[in-house]
Amino acid sequence: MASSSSSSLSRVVVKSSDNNLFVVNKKVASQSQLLKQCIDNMEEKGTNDVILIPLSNVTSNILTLVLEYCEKHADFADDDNNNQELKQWDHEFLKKFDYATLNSLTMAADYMVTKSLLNLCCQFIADSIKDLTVQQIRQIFDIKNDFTPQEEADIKNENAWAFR
Amino acid sequence: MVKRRCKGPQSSLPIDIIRDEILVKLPVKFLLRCRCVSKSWCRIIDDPSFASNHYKKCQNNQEKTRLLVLEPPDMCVAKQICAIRNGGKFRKLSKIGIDVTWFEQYQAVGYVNGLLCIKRYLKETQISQILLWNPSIRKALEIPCSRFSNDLQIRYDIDCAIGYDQVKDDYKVVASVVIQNGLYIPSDVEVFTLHTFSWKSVNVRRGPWLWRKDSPKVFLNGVIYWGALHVLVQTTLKGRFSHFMSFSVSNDTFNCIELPNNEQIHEWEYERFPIILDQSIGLMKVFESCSQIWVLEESKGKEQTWIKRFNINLQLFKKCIYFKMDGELLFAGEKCGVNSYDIKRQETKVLAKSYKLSPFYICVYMESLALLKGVPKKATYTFPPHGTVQSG
Repeated sequence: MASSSSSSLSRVVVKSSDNNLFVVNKKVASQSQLLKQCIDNMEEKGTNDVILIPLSNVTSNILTLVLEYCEKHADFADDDNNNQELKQWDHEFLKKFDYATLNSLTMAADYMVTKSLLNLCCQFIADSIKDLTVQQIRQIFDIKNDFTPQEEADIKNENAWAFR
Repeated sequence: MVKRRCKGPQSSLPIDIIRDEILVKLPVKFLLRCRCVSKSWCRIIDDPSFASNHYKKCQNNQEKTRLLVLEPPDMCVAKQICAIRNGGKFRKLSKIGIDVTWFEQYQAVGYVNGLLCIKRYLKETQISQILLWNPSIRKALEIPCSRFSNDLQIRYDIDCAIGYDQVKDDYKVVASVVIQNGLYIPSDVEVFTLHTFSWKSVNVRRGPWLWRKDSPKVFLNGVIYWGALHVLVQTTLKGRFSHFMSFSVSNDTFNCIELPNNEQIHEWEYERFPIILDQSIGLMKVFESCSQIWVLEESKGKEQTWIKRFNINLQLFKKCIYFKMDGELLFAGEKCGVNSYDIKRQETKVLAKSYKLSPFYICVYMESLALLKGVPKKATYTFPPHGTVQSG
C-alpha cells in the first residue's frame, strides 16, 4: 500500500494490434477495466516508468473509437449515469457505424472490459435488428442455416402466431 | 490513417456475446422467430437458464412499465380480451381475444414471473380448472386434476394462488377446495409443483381461521399472502380480515400475521386487503371517505410491527383495481374509466376516460419465456388456440 502513494502514473501508452501507439490519460484509460487493472498492478509495484500496454486483439481504427468513447465518458465520470447530453452523444456516436464496425467495437469493448460500451453497443444492435427477418439475421451474424426445410417449418409451426 | 472496413471472420460476434448481451435484450416475439435461425440459436433460446436471464433483464428495464389487463367476458362477441397496455397512459399496445361461451369463462388468479394463473369456470359442471398461461409466448398448460376432483358428486370450486420459487426456478399453485361461496374453513389444501408436475397435500391447521374464496392475494419474495379471519373475532369484525395468512413456496408452510387494530376512527371500515409497497408487505384499509396504507416494518432486534404510512382522501370502496409496488394505485372512476393515484405525491390522474367499469384484473406485465421448455412437452398448447392477435 505504501508504494501506491509514492508513484502515481498520469499517462499510459497503449499499443494496437497493428503496432500503432496511443498515449492515454489515466482517467480515460480507467474507463477500461483491463487498462485500469494494468495501471493498478504497475502502481502497486512502484514503477515510475511509462507503461506500455499491448492490445493484440484491437486494431488501431477500432482502438481510436474505443478511446474516443472513453474520453467522453471520463469527462462525465462524476455525473450520474442518466445524463441526457451523454446519452445523446452515445447515440450519435454509434449511429454512424455499419454492422461490421459495430461488431468489432463490441468485441473490443468486451476484450478491454468496458462494460458500459459493451452494453451500449449490444443494446444498439438489439434495437436495430428487432424488426428483421430470420434470413436477414443470418446474414448480419454470418450464420449458416443448418436446419432442413422440414425442420425449419416445424419450428416455425410451434409458434406460428409470432411470424404473422 | 486509412479507414479500413473490417470484414471476414473477425467481424462475426462470438456466440456468448450474442446470447448474454444481445438476445437477452430482445422481445419475446422476436426470439420465438429467431429459433429458426440455426440449431445453436434454437438451443440457446430454449434453454430455461436463458429464459431466466432474459426475464431478469426485463425486470431491470423499469423504464417501460406495461400492464396486463384481463377484461370481463363480452358476450356480444363471445370473447374475453387480454390486453397489454402502456403503464403511463393506459394506451393499448396489443391484445389477445380468448373465445368464451356462457358456460366457459376465465378468471385471473395471479401473475408471477411471467405466468398468469387463471381459472376456467365451467358452468355446466360447476367445476373450475386451473391453467398456467404465458401470454408473451401464447402457451398454456392445464394443471391436471388433483385428488379433489375424484369425487365428482360434489360440486366444488377452487380457491387458489400462484407463487414462484426463485432458487429452484419453479412455480407452485396452492389450491383449496371450496364447497360454498364466501368464508370457509380450509380443510383440503394441496400444492401443485410445475417441475414435478404433481400435486401433494399440505398440512393446514383446521381453524381457527376462515378463508374467503377468491380474496386478493399478493406474492412477495417467495411468500404468498392473503386475508384470513379468526373465528373468535368473526362477529366483531363483520367479515373483515383479522390476519394475513402466508404460504412459503420454498418449504410449503403456512404462517399468520396479526393485522393492526383500528385507531379511533369514526367511520365504518369496508374492506382490507394485502398490497406490496417498495418490497414490503402492506395492508390497505378502505373506509367510507378515506383509506389507509399500513406497512409491516422490520425494526432491529424486534418483531415486525405495523406502521401507518399513508392516508388517502378518496372514496375507494369497491373501486380499487390494482396497487403497483411503486405506490401507484389504479382505481375505477365514478361511472366509468380508470384513474391512477400516486400515494407519495398524492396526485390523481385520469388514465382512461371511457373504460367501462367492471371488476377486471390488472397487473404489471413483464415478457417471459416461461413454459417454452422445461415442462412435459405434451402438456403445453397454444392458447388461445385460434386467438386473434392485434397490435396498436
